[in-house]
Amino acid sequence: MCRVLLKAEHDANLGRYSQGDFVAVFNDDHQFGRLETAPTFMILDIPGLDPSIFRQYLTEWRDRDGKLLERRQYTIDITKLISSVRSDLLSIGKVNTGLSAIKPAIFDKDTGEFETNRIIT
Amino acid sequence: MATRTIQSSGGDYTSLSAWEAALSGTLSEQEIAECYDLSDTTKVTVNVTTSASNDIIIRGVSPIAPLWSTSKYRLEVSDFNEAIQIASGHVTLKHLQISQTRSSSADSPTARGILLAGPNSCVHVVDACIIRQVNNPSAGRGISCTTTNTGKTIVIRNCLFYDQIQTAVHVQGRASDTFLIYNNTIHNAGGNGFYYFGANSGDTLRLKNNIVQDTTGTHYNSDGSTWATTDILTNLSGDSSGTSGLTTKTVLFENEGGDDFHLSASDTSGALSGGTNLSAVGSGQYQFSVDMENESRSDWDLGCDEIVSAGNVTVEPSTQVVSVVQPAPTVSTSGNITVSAGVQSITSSQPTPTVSTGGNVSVSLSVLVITAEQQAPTAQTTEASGDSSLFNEMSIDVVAITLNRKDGSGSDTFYLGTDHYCSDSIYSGSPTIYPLLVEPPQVRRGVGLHVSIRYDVQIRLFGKTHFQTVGKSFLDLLDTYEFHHSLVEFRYYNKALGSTTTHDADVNIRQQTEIIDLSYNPENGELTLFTRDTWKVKDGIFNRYFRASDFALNGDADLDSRFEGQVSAWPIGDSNTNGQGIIFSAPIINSEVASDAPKLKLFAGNKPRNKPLGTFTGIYVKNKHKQIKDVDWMEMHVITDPDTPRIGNSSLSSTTDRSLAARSWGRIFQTPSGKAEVVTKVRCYLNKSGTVTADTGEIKVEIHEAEYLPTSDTYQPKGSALGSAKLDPAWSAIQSGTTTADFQIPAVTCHPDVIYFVSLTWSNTTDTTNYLYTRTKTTASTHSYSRDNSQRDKGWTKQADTELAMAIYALGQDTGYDNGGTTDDYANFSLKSNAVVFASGDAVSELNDVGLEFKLNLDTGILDDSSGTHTGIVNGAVRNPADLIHLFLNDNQGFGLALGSGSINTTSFTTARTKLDSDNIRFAFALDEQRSSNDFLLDICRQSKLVLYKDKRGRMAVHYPQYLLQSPTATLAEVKLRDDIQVISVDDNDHGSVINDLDQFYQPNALNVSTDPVDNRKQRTERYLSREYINQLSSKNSDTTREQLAAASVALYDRREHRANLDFIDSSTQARKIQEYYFDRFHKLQKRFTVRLLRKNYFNLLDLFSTIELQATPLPASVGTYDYVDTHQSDTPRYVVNEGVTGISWSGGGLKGIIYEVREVGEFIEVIGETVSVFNYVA
Repeated sequence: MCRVLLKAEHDANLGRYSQGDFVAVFNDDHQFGRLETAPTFMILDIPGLDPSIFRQYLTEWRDRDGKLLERRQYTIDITKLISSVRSDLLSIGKVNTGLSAIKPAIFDKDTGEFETNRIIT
Repeated sequence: MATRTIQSSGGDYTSLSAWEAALSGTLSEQEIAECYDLSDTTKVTVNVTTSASNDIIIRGVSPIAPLWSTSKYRLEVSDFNEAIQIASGHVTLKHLQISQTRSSSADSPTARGILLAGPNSCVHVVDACIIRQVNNPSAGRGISCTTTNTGKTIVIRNCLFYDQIQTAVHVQGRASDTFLIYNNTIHNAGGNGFYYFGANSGDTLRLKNNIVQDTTGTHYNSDGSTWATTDILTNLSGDSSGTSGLTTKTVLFENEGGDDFHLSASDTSGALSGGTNLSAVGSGQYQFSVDMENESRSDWDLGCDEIVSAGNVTVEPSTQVVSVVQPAPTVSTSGNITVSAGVQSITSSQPTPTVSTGGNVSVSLSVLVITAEQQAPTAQTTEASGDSSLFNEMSIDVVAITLNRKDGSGSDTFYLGTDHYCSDSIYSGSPTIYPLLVEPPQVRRGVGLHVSIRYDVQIRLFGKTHFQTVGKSFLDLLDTYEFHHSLVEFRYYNKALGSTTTHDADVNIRQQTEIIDLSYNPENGELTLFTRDTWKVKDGIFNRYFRASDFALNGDADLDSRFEGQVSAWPIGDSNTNGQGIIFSAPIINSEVASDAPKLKLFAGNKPRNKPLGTFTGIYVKNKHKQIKDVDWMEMHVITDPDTPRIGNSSLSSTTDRSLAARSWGRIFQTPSGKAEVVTKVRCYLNKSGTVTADTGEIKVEIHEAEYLPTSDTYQPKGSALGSAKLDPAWSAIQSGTTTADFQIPAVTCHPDVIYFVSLTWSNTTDTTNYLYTRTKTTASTHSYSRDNSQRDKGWTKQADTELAMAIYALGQDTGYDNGGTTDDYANFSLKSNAVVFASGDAVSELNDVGLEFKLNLDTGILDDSSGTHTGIVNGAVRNPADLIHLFLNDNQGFGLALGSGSINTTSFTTARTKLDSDNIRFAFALDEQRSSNDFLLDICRQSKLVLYKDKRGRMAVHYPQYLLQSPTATLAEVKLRDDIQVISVDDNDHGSVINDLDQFYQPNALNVSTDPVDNRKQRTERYLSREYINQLSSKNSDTTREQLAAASVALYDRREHRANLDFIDSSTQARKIQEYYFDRFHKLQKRFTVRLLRKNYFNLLDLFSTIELQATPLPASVGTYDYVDTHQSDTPRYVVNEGVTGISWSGGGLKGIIYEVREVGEFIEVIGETVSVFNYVA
């Protein structure tokens, strides 16, 4: 299992995080800190997933000149999650679910497309 | 100011990245990130709006040395970009270790250690950091600052760079920029050491006191552009690019091959004392006077490290305080130490208070305070050796209160004391202590027999006194902070005046509590905080309800509606000696008919989601027919292929048709030895002759117990039918041609080794034209039975060598046992019957409502995860009581209380585990009732003699008591300590604590325990399989010694029973060990004692469960010999000598005990213990 820390709050400032952005990815035995919780963060536990796969989603979103646009290129579009997962994330700030429930909601801000097996196959 | 901690556990954040992500886009106060020992692998970008006053400091919690340490914070990144990028305006990095190991230029063209990319007029300070292994071949620079923004101030000082593929420090002037690059050490850079280029108007470069060595490119290189101001002095190089006189030098480090870049005292390159003094440089040039390790620079060595020099130490008359600070507490000199008149104190900080000299020590008459530290008794002034220790101590109580902001944005910590202390004055990195405490608080920790005693601690504050930087009084903080539930940490330091000590959480943190109330007295402005020694885990109901939400996550919607509110088992441990494993109820959680096959799904135990259960070893079915055998549960034959009939064949070839109008037919069926079976279906050959119309009777299959009649050598049905099923003979499908008919039997639980009689009858005996018939076949040694329908009173006759076309099916496994793997909340076992096909098309019935009940047998309960988090063994059985408590506290997958590992004293659990394993104490039980967490934990402790408590740092810990006290933690002898020890009281324990008649049942009989209220009437001997007892008359182990002790106890205190059973234990060895512990400890009335000691000497030595040997005159004489106390010698006092001081040993006594309570306040520590002398009985 891997444990994913997502930003729960949207920050409109340039180069900051949006809701659903990946902040950090850890192994399943990771214990989060006292403030790594709602309402600032959401925790996503995905059984059976190698953490190194999700670490690829920590890429920053920069323009061609290297200017930082947003802190992460990839985000999880909360509205695209199935209702039970979305409900848990938004209400209690964490959820344990399968990759199949998350994958369709992973959004690439650079291409404007949802995850198309480019990273997770 | 907001300070947040970055820690692997127990802190605010577990990565710098998360800390930064939580910052607001524009800071409204200074933000400090304190980084503890942690390997942080996520790249960090700092990109919020800052200002000079609302700036950012990211710092290691303590200084680092020029030698990479794996016990300090490390930002170890392998990222597409930099390890850390600073895009904000005002940022300081201090005491950080950074590496960026991404080595592919193809996919990582910008991988650098630190990228300074702030806005115009930014101020970035990189101070005392290590940047190493920046491996990118195209951009692998240590620090890069080439942003086009102007007016920047960049300070890089006391840093170590080594093993980089490119230039270590790469900076570009863009106009009005200032680069201050001081006292850095660069080793083994693949490019240049320093490269400064592109200077523009108004740019300033100050480059001083640096070392560059073993570097491929030019050590100090530029593009030749003109800087408006340059200040380049005393830079040493291995090539010719350094400062004149310091070129082509080779610096000698302590261990260059081992990457230890401390300067060697033997260096002759000129690095020693070769630098420019930068402690008083001009405004804006960031003067400083320490090195990377925060040691004072006096000789101004080059590079990041300063060597503390040897030589004479002379204390001038005008000096008030002399201090020798760590980490060099020993000052050695070949010269003299002269202390002149006017000196008030001379101190040397712990832990090595020795001040030694090969010369003389002279002290003038007006020295006011000279104190030799008692903790280091070797540090005494003696003329012979010339050593001396001069000490003036301070005892400091600090209360750290972490208040949570009401707006939920975080918390802030305030440090309070009885006196004011500047930051760094107690230890390096110590916070500012505000003098708001009215008095030092009393810290109080204690334990009972099994768990902590939770004491309240009051803190008295000056509530209306404003304190610096906060700008408010503490009472005013009520507007901003929620006090309730805020964490309070009590600390204690003992240090030399004018010197600093160190902070060790294990030593200096004395207790953690939680604010529960406060009161304010407006008359004197005093605020009292009431705090409680709460546990890290909150009391909650340890409920084992089936919850719909749990099962929904498993996609098992059937469970949602069926089992809300029902209790089921958590199998735990494994069998120690009897091999029985764990047996527990397995309720039916699903019943369905799939492809006409009735199926059952049994609940095979709850489990944490990431931990499987052990191996299935058997299944038991409840006896529905106790008139045959009076047993509750029967081990069931696990049929692996229930589609194969247990016996018989329903479609025989070469057969003879048998009219059912004329005769009824039957056969016998026997269960396997020792195993029960559940018959669910009988299939018969059935056909018609002519037209059988409606209302022509019924056709029926019945199962009876068979009775053998030896005279006629036949079996007859006995008693009433155990199960039966009927069909309507008018069904059109029963007609000419080969056909079979299925009779679904409502689950007959057939007993082991019992013979049953299965009959097929048609109630119509008159119509011999249109009739039903079955058939038989001649088969040697197979017998059937038939009965003439016109002469039913004659019974059944044996039809030798005749096989009836009848097949009998029993319940067997479907997919069988599923241990739940690492994803489910529970395990399950699935059963099925052979498909039932009714020609009529009637629905097949589910098996749910025919009264079946099951129990399962596993060899082990919950298994550990693949990391061995709780047991130390990968997928090991959680059977050790200490491991079970750890699992219960730490698990966050449904079983436990989700307490983070940082809140658990792991060492205590490991120690207890080892001792319990040594005593072979382990559990095997199923928790199948609703328990509160406290009750459950208490029961674990009671049955394993563990004590669960909260340690000084607020972490949950366990203690496993030992019998012997051969090596006490401390010997407290009055003749030695004199006035430093005070025996406050020695009293008998409460008489109610004595027990002398112990009777414990253990190994619950899982097959004779149910939730049926009728079972409450059963005797203990029926509900438990085994028993241990000790009393004045007898004992299970024929332990005459303990029987005599019990008799002596009964004579003194009368008979006192102890009856608590040991439900979790299934072995006599274990049960006896536990029982004997309680007997040995409590059959005799113990004494409780209270001793007061000097806190400075014992606060680090004595704690809960410490063993002490107390020798003092107020004690009654006790058995045994002691170092300093003799038993009474009538009128003949004896003299003893301790360290040259004569003492009198008379009429004193001694006792041995264990500390169960500690109270600390101000200068004193009181320990409350209980005698344990009787423990010596068991070797």
